[in-house]
Amino acid sequence: MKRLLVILPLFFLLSSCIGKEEINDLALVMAVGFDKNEEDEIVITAQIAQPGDVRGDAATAGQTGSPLWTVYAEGKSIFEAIRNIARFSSRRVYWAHNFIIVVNEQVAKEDGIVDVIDFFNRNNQLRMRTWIVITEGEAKEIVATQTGLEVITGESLDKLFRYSRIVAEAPRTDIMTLSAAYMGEHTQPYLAMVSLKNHGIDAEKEFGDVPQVELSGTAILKNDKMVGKLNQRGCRGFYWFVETVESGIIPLTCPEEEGRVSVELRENRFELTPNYKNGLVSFDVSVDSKADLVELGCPTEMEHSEVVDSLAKHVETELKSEIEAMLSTIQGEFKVDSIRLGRTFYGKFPKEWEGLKDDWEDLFPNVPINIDVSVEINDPLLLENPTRPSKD
Amino acid sequence: MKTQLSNGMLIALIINIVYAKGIGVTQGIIARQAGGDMWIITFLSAMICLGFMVITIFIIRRSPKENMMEQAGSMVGKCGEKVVAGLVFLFFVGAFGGVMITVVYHLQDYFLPDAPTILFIIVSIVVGLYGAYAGIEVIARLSMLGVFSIVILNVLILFGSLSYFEIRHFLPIMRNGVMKAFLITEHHNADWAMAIMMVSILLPMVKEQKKWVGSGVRGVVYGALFIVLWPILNVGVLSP
Amino acid sequence: MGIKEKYEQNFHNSMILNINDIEEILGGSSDIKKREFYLYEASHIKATLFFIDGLVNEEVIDKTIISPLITKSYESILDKTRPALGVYLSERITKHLVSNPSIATVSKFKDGIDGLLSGQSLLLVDFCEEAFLISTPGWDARSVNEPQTEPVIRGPKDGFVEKLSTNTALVRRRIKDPFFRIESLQLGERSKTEIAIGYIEGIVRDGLVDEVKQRLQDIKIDAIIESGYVEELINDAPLSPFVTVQGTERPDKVSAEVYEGRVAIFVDNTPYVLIVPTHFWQFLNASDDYYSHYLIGSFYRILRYIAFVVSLTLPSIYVMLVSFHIEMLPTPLAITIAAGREAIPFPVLIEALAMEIAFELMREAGLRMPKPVGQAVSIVGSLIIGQAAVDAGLVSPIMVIVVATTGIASFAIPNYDASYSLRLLRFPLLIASGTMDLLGFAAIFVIIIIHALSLRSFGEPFMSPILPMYGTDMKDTMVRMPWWSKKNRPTTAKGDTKREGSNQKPAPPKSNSASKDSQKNNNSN
Repeated sequence: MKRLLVILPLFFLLSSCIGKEEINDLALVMAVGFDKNEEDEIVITAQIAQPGDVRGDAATAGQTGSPLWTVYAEGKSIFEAIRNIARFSSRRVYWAHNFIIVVNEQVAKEDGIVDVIDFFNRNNQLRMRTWIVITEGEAKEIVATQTGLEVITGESLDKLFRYSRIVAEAPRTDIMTLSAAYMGEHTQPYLAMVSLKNHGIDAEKEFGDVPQVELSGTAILKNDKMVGKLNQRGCRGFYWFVETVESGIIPLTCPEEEGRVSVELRENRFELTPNYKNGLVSFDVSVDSKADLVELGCPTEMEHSEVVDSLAKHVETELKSEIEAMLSTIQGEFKVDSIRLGRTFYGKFPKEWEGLKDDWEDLFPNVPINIDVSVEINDPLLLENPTRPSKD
Repeated sequence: MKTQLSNGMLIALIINIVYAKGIGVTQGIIARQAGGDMWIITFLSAMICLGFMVITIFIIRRSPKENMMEQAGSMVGKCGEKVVAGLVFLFFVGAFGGVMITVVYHLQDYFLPDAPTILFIIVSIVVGLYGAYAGIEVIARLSMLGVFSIVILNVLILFGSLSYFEIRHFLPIMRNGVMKAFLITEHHNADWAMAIMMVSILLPMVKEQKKWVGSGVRGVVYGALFIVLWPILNVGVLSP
Repeated sequence: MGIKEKYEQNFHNSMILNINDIEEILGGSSDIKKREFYLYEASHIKATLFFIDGLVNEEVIDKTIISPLITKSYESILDKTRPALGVYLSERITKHLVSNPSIATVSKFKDGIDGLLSGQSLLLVDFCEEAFLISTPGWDARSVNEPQTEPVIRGPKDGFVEKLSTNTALVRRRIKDPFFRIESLQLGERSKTEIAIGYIEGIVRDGLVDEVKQRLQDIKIDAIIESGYVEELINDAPLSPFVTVQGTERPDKVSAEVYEGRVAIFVDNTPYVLIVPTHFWQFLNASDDYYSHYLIGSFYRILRYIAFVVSLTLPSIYVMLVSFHIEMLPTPLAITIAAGREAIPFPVLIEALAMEIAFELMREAGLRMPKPVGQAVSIVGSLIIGQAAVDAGLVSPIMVIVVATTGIASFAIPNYDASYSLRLLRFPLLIASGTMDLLGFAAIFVIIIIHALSLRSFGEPFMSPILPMYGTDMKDTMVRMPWWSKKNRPTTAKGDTKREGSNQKPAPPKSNSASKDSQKNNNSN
């Protein structure tokens, strides 16, 4: 018993040297932004949750009135800026629950994001599934803006990405895919972009507009520096190459008259085949899609299979032009292999790749890519005629 | 009473002794050297060691009452037995160095970055000594529990990573050539050597002599299946 | 001559001396009654009957001892041709006179007095060098009613009582097998407690009964009040927190275990019967499992296994996550927990320990108080203090949930002893994981497992049939397979291991269904 009395306090002493940190001694960061100020310093903006207010529970004391505490600090490097946050934060800054990292375009273009990758890769608390995005405006604003339905804005942004497959307008990029692409021998990273745009309405302030965060394209990086941006249309073409497209809505104009038609892609098969003939590299892209009509504003009767066929043709050209537009930007403007062509080629021709590897950067802009799109529109089973009566 | 192990326990022990280091440090080394071929190399290594395992069991079966050291003793005398025992001791000291590094590295890096390493060593020694005090039979039973845990871990990792899995990461297959692949197997062969050495010591305690070969083979095959899942997922998700 | 020596000596042939000695040995205890009388028409032969007030049935004494002796004719008592002396007289009394079904002659003071004290009547007769012990039990005992500690929904409602013979009878009613043996012995130098061991010969493992008997006989103790004494004295692992001997109040459970080749140890004056060898997993089985539908039984059994894991580890895991591995919690949960802990002044470990101890305290207080007050204690304790502690910001609401869940999970374990040992094991786990995090948790957990695996209960590995694994026994471990699938007895049984005939799975008779089908066909045609 005496021995136990000696050992027990020792156990309690041990806890301090192991790095015990109670959950209520931590400042849980929900979103973080990287900017640059005039003096060329890094500005870190951190959105920190105040749990007592996030869960407005009568049983818990300690409410301060605002669920979020958004702060910023400057520093010559990321590490210094983070240390500077600690100078005024009453709790230890804790990064593990961070939802999203927002990087200002200026930072991404001039300094590169290697420091960001490095910091978050080395931090053992960090989740590899943290989203990382680039913004044209100030990251500070994105982090500080009240957007979405969640109390914590970081969570809103997280869900924005989680369910972004439906619109397919920005790729889903997290630290893990970013570092895999950055460290990979044959791949180049890309990041989603977000921007602020007026979408919300504040009824209290004379119906003033309230900015919300929206997805707006893809940033193409070369190594760790951003080289350019794909717009939303290019983004859809880009999406085929980097993620599995499950569905997508293609808006079209009617073949003959005015009106809108939308088709929804249902089952998609995307294939990228590398060819190597006489020392020349080329690629075949084939897209097979089955689509449904979801909106039919044309005053045509759908009984004629010709109309359906012509619509399918229409969708095909639309898809093809999207991909072509993207390719011309990437190959012509940015000259960065973000669409994993080199990796795919290496997969099929590993020996030949050894010879081409070093020249790939020069070869890539001129690699011919044949695009073959075929779309089949399913017969609308129940609704044959448009609901709008045809103007006869 | 002489300690007796069932054949199932032998299988469990084989799986347990290779698994931790097999999925831990070894996969890291192989990934660095072989990249996307790591799963082939893991599999190849298991097949090579399957052969050695069968040979070992046949050798021990010549004199089924004696383990490796005792057989050496009856062949070259007491001195030879001592030498072999010493070598085996040194082998396991070295081999478990690797295993301990795996354990400490994982625990310390992912869970307890601030804890002093000495704490890990003390705790491991205390637990290990208690296990040794309890005896081989208890450890063999514990290894059955280990197999349950391994199955659960494998299932969890499978569910966790299946959504990120992409088959195209596997191309090209055998990117480094067959010769180099064989050379790289040495890292994983070292893990399997532990299992083979353990079998050569424990085999005389195992009950059903007729099923020795079958148990040994099953141990290697199950162990290999459990381990090879990791490099496959590794390649499919991360594309090293 | 001291009392001790007198106690060891043989009866004298003078009754007066015998009476004097008995009275001296017993010290004139007031509950010992003496009745003196003369045999009919033989007024020179005096007899004395000793019995203990409250332990005997006086009506039985009158009918079977005193009235035959007083009223039977001289001839039937004594043959005139022979002197009324010694052996001849005692034979007459045992064989011709006393009509009680149980009578024994004793020649030593020790035996006579021991019998007297255990509730028999001691008859002394002039000229006899022997005394007669006549069984006239009649003490007040609790009647058989439902066991309080192991209630069932479906199943027999009778439970053991404090009387040994009733208990063995309850089991015998369920095992009308000629090979069911009950052997008895006495333990306790002063208490002279009756012990009975029951087993079925031909099913029980060879040597098990001898081992049990040997261990029982090795017990040298002054008194055995309850079977807990025996349990601790025959235990395989005296230092272990695990209980390696199962105690139960249910005769149906005892019978079922005896049919599986185990040995039951009945102890007088307690309703708790011990069963050896014991497997750990038996503690998680309730009698209901066997009586209700096998799917339901299996479901609740799996639930109990989960409860077992929860009650052992939940507080430790919570403390570990909240004080070290906040990154492992899903973010919304982390914020909820952080919100609950916003104003809590104590570290999680202290909070958890305090709550656990408070919970145990409440349980103990509720148990020790008289029943109506006990309920008040639990209501005040759990509802009012719990709510107030949360409102005052002393305890976080999630901690209350964790501790309460753990407590409820530990109540779901049917065996009280096992749930006690789990409660104890929770504390080292909690302290280790609160101070040394995952390392401490893993270390203590592995040590507990190694310890549990190294235990044996009367030669059986304690953790079997799961570790080491016996395939066929798994049918009655995590799940309860239907009776028709359990063809053989578990591996604890040796010898006659077949439990049931083949093809016990019920099915409608084949010929019937075939004819029905053909009928249907005819109709449709």
